[in-house]
Amino acid sequence: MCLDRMSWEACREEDMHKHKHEGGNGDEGNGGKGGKLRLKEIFWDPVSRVAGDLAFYVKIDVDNRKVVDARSVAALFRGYEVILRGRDPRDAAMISSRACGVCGGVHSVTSVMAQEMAYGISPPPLAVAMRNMAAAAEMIYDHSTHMFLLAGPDYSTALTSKSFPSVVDEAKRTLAEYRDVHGFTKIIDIMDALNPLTGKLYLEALQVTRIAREMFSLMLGRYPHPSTLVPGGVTTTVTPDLFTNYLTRMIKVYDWAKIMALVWEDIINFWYNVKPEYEEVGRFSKVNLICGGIYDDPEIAESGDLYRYESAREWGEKRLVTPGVIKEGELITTDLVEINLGIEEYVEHAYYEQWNEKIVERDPLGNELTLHHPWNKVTLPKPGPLNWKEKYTWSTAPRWNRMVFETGGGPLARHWVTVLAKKLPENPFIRIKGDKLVMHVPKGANLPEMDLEWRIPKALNALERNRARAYHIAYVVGVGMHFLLKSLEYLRAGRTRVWTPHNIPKEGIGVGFYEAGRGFLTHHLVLRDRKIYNYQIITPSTWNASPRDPWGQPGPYEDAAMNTPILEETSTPDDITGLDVLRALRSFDPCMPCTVHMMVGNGKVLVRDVTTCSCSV
Amino acid sequence: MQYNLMIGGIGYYCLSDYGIGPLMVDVFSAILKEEESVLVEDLSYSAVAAFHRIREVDARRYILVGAVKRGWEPGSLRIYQINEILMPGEDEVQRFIGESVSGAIDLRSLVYLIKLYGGDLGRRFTVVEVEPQDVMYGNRLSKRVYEALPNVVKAILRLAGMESYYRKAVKTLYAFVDPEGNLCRRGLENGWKPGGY
Repeated sequence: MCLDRMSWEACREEDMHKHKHEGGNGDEGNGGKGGKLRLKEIFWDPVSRVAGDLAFYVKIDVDNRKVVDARSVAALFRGYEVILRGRDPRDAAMISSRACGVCGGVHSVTSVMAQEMAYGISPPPLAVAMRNMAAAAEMIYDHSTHMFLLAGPDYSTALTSKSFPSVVDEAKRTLAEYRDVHGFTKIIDIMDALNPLTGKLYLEALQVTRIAREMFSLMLGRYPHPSTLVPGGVTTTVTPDLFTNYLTRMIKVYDWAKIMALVWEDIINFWYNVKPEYEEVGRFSKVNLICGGIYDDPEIAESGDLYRYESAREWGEKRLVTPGVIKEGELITTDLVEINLGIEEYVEHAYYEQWNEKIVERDPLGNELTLHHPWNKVTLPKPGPLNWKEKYTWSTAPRWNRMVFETGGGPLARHWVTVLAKKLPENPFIRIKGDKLVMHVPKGANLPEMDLEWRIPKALNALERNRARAYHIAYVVGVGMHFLLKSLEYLRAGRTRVWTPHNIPKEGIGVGFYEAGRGFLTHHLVLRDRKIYNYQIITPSTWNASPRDPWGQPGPYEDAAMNTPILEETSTPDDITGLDVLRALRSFDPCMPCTVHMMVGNGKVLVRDVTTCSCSV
Repeated sequence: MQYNLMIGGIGYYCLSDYGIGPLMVDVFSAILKEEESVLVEDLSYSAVAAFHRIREVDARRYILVGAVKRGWEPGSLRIYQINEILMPGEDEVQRFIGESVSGAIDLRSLVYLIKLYGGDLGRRFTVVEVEPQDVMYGNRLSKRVYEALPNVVKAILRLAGMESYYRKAVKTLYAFVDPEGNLCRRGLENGWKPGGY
């Protein structure tokens, strides 16, 4: 066990040496005998069933079945910030979209928002409504994919029977509370349906991805990289057909939203019942959540205030998901300006050099910015060996007011902040009732209309991240329908403008605040001489996959893994697979294409072009 | 109308030899535009989405073309029918699907999806795989793959029963790829001077 002291390569050599000469298995920690800890190391590289390349290291105390150390490793470099430097800002949405093949749409939208702020323009109301509808479709894609194709199999019969045979036995005896809705009589039937490749829910999710892609493409031309999204609005040809086509597809999602929420409600409640200790799996030490808010109010666009930095608090608080920061369970702000001012990035444990130029001294309201603020941060890649004491990842460490925050895997933070803030704009589909969100889903082909209720949970853990995500489809059905009705209203009133003419100023700064499927997303832009002088993307997975910061605080994945007890049923330490830790990690919906991108060997970093997902620039 | 044949190219235009799939789409779109019963389409997107598209088209026959690295001699061709292939282990198939839904573009993933979920549809597919040499950034094909291009064109035409198009196809091919192996030449005319072999 040497990873604390030296590089991975050196450690591997030492372990191999030990193995060769002593016949040890490298799993016995500090001696393994004489009362010392027996430790087992697991280094997943890559972690499977997550988007992109995440590696993760844990050190497990096998006697106490505890994770005593955890390190999150973003294995590749993302070069978008470097690629964008010096370019025409209008390129930014198209290029930065390629940061991800799952959620390219949110990157594009966030990028045009940053540009609109820098250009001093607002898109017309219909364009805002259409962007919202596209984002809702993207969430349907994203969450269905995650809950059934990536994280879902963790709770399937196929996987659970290997690590938790007693749970499978119990599932065979347990009736599913919501069987009348989703049609699965017992919990084991749901678990069978979650089986990878053959399970009914796995297969249905594959089909739902198509519906969601089509809905997105109707609004913004193409998925995942929009072709009709531009600064100032959209260039989609607007006809009534466009919206009825969206509606016919949305209707197909109505029943899916109900089934998805209640299937997971049953699965999660079952796990709490049979394994109450599962509350600890993936638990974040503090209820620290950050959310950028999403789904703007189109009406503000008419006044020209939308995306003005100076009025960010007002338009932010009118979003259909409220932005906010929850610190230790308390909502401390919903003001996007305050949220922006608190963001900083640190690179002490990441393969970057520290930057020294302070590009922007103050924000447009005169507030001072630190050197670590994304308007000032410069991406200076510096590859090196993996060393836990020094640098071990390509992910930076974003912090808010120098504290660690997670994005709740997306929906958990979105729901939690929105409920606590109680600023949800009036709409026919989503409302707040005490500590609950009530989501109204209309009648579908097979199921009646239904109010689904999500409640603020007792803990911030793996199961609750998944539960919120399962309910979020119902939320975005409401969002999509709300803005569909708005769009039709605009159409009837002849408010069909979808683009605002503009010029590119010589200088300016902007920031797009948004939510990707898995949480808070920002793009920070600095313009000089009508070119991009600096561009910084902070994705939700950068927040979550963060390494230690200068104060030694672990990032959210690391923290959640270290709180995770090893509950899997094994007879010997060698049998521990770390499934509990993997469940904890996957609950964040890691999306590493956007955290990182490409590095070539010999210390050379590639920035001329990038491989990326669904890229056909 | 049901198409007699769909030719689908899969790959990345900006990733050297992976550009061969989209290149073939350009070539065959150009030469077969009068053939109403043939659909030529770029399927360079998520394999799950491409699978949905293929099912929707429901052509009588399909030819898929692209580069897949399998450790063979660069530039060599593999031609096979989907119903003939063996599937990898379940974990691996899951990985392919996971990568596909998170955006990766890959002919192999599409082939597995068709085999797994296409049922009888798999019988209608022939795959033309090219072994790439370079799979790094850039619009330029490796020399070996560049030299194999006429064979790729010939193989597709033979499978399509359209050998008479060969001369036209090769002429069209070299309109899309210059003697140095650069693709999209017309898009790169402004001052960019590629080096030759």
